[in-house]
Amino acid sequence: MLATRALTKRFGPHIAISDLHLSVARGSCLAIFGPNGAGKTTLLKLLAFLVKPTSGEIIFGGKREEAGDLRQRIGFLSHQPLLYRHLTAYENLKFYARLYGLTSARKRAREVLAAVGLDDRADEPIQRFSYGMLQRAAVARVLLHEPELLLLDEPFSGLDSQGARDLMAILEGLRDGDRTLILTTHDVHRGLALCDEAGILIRGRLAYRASRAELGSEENFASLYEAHSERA
Amino acid sequence: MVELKEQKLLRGGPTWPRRRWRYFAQVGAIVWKDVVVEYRSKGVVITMAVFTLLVLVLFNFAFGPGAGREVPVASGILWTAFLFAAVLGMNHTFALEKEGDCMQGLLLSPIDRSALFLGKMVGNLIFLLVVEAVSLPLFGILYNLPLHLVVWTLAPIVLLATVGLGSVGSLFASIAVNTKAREVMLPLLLFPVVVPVLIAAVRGTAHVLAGEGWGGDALRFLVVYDVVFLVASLLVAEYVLEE
Repeated sequence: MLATRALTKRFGPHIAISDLHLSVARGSCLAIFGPNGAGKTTLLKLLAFLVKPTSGEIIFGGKREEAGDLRQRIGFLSHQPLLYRHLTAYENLKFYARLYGLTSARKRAREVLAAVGLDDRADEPIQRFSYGMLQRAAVARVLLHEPELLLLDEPFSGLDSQGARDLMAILEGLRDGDRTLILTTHDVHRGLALCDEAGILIRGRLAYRASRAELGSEENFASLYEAHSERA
Repeated sequence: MVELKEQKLLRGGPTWPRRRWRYFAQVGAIVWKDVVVEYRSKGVVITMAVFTLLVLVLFNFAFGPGAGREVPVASGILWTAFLFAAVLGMNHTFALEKEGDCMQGLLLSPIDRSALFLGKMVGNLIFLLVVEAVSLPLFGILYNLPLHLVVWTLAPIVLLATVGLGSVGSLFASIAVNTKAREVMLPLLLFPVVVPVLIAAVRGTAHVLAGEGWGGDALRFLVVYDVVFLVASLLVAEYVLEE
């Protein structure tokens, strides 16, 4: 589904991602853990074709395609909702649906808002939304165009426990066997609950990667993660 | 919780008409978004209009009644007001995209970067033209100029000079917005490049206000400038708007 070969990203003298070889199978979920500054967000931005790599390549679906065409197949949930606060949730989604060239933008916007449980607040400006509601609206934005690959950048950060539970339920609902998920998180409990594989990114390098079965208990992985983070 | 139906996508396809249709639909979506956001926030047009009117009124006080007889002075005052109002407005519309990192949302979508630039530019042009439409009658009254000249005969010069300002200004605003001192950076980048537009606009306006026709050579120069810089801006938009 997705592979990177010797992917490297430098910002001046700083190496954010270093010689990364990664492959993720179609329909699987990879959770990437890492301390602040490990390069998690940069990695997701590279995979979303938001930034260009310094060297190396990203192969999507086994083919090399233009970034513009691939963006149609990728959904990226960022730290920010990427929505306009003066527009309603429905208007924001209708706007993005038009950018993605969806055939029935209005219907689709209503559908995804209902899917994330915001249909009753669809016509309110999002500046009145709580953080949890904003995050759900952002998930609706990401799902608009039915992306094959979902990139989720610390989706649980800043959410209260109810908000995180609601988001977890939405993300579990997206594991339909066809859609590939890559998420970065500090939340070991929720990250492991969602993933098939987990990795630890340290200073732009994948220091550890294992399948969910190989990881053992959550406590084991948490102490392993802590040990890697302290060494960093 | 999430049950989503299969969505048919207009994936561009090989056909040229479909790609063109999609391109202009995306441009239209960006213009619609900018106009709706501006209608609700009232952050750009009112600031620009108030600034323009203040400049016109202050210079009117400075030069006294009957300044309209000094046509070159009046046309210089008019374009000083429009230029600074344009800088204010264009800085603001691109800053809006940085708020909440919305520019990232635009860049994530499969939109041609030139369509994104064109949408932002058309939005800026609409705001500038609204401010100019409000300011020109007042300019005529304050500077004791024939209203039919100011409102009707001057329209081609104003329109063409605004397109020139808007295309170059939107391009530099998209660069300046990523810098720390964007309020300073935009005028620094913009002014040297729009000097020819301003000279042509001031001369053309003086020509019109003196009752000597539609702007003469200035009008022709503005057409050429607009075509060159509009095409150049669209070509380099991809490199400017990417990382």
